[in-house]
Amino acid sequence: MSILNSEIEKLFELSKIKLDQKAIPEVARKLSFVLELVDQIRKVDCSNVQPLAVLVEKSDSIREDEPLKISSKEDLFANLPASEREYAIALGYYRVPNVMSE
Amino acid sequence: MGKLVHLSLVEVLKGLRGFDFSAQELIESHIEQSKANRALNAYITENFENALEAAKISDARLKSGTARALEGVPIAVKDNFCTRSLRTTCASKMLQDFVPTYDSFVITKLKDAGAIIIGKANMDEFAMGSSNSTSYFGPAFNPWGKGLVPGGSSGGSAAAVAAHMAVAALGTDTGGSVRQPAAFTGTVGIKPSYGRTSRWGIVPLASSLDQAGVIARSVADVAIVLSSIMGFDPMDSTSRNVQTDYDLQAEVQKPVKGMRVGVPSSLMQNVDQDVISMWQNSITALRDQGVEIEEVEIPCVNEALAVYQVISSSEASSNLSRFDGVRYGWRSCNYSSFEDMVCASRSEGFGQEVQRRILTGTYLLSAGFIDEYYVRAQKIRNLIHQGFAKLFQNLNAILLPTAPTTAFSIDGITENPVDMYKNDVFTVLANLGGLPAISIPITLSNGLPLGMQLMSRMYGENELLRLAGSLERACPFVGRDAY
Repeated sequence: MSILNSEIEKLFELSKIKLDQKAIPEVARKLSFVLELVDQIRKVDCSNVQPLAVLVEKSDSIREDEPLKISSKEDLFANLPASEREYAIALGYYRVPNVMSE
Repeated sequence: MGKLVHLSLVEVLKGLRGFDFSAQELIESHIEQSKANRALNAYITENFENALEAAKISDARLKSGTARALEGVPIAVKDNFCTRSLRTTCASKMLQDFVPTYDSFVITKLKDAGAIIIGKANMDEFAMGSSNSTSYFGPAFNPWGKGLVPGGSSGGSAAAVAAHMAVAALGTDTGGSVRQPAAFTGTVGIKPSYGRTSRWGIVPLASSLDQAGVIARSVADVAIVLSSIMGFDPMDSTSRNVQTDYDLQAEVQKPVKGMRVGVPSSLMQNVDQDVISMWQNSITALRDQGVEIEEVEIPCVNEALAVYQVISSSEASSNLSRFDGVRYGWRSCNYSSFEDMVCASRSEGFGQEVQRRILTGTYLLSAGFIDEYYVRAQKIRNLIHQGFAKLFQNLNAILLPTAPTTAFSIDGITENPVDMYKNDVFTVLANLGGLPAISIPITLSNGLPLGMQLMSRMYGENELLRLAGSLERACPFVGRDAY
């Protein structure tokens, strides 16, 4: 199964991975190998079968929908870059570049 | 008594309790062994100083008669289990500086049992691979031969156990990542039933397939460690509160007369002759012990690998969307906007195979394709699941090889990713069915280990270990004590 260059570009965009235009032929070739494998599932007749999402029929651990205090602010921000950590702990939120562009 | 590193877990527990040696001596000998085998690159992060401190506590508890189940035992832990204050990288640049502020549930259980983490084991990046060649920290190697892969993704765990750098190791198994490296390194690897061990605090690959498992050098040893790490966890909604009234270690010694084992002969096409011979010899060995052997057909077996790839890639792409460079993980230094920061961080932080699986999963889940691929794969998974349920009405286990070949050279890895995926052809079945499965080293082929696999019914770890113990006794495997 072949995959179009335009589809590859769209995939990178959806996956939030930067596309190196020069890499497109190799990415396309390797993805085609994988898609050829996964296309085998089309041969199976499963028209009257329900999809199986989870192997556990019912969860043993659904708790009340109440907030729990699990982590401290220091814990939550512990793995930020050092330059951001103190700032985040002081303010209580993450600092990111502008999300809305002009 | 020989070198301490050559003792099995059963012997270690006996020796510590009999004060034949101390926990400190045991840890020191394993540190020495680990240092002598650094060329294997089995550990991403060594934890030697902390391990020596922990050994003091273990020795005190041993002396005061308050020793716990795994008191003082050096264990390697795959680097995708969150370990408090100990770096957890998932073998990725993305998490190269990530230091968890909490222990995963399984690690809490391991520590509560008195075990000592000696190192965080190398693995394929984000557990994606069957050769441990995709690690950002360089490949791990197989102690059985220069340039050979240890299998994957729990390759460092298996190499560490095979080279006697740890008494046992924890791994995770999504499509064979505990069992295939066990087979490649002449060790025993067990993946319990889905829901048996908690996934909480393990960096996820494919959530509907992932399960923590154990690698050690005997069936009894994996049974002991598994007993300590399994159990219900309210923090994992797929953890099951299944009561077990059996002692897994005791099961290993029980007779198997009258048990029934299925053999799927149709799967043995295009498999190495030595693998077929091992399979046939294992059938004979079980039959000699009174096991009834029955021919079986596993439904949709030819499509299982494809079903697995669809489900695992799709779930992986979804799981890995959390890595955005905002809250933790690699953050690029070069960006001009929020979107750019996320894309640059992911592009720089993820390796090639990880990127490929994200792209594949994104493709399979995208509008117009999701019904054709992911939902369809879930339907076939249901057929496989139902098929196993039917088979296990009359069977205690199914016997098949763990991997189609012995360990291969790292230079032999081809550019076609599907060639690598085919390593998992025999192991993905247990993950799709949620079944417990174990790999046991049986024999050598051209000087390299071959492993046999047993799968049992969901939550049938007792039957699985009983048959595995029997097969192990019938086919004694000579390990590599040279290490």
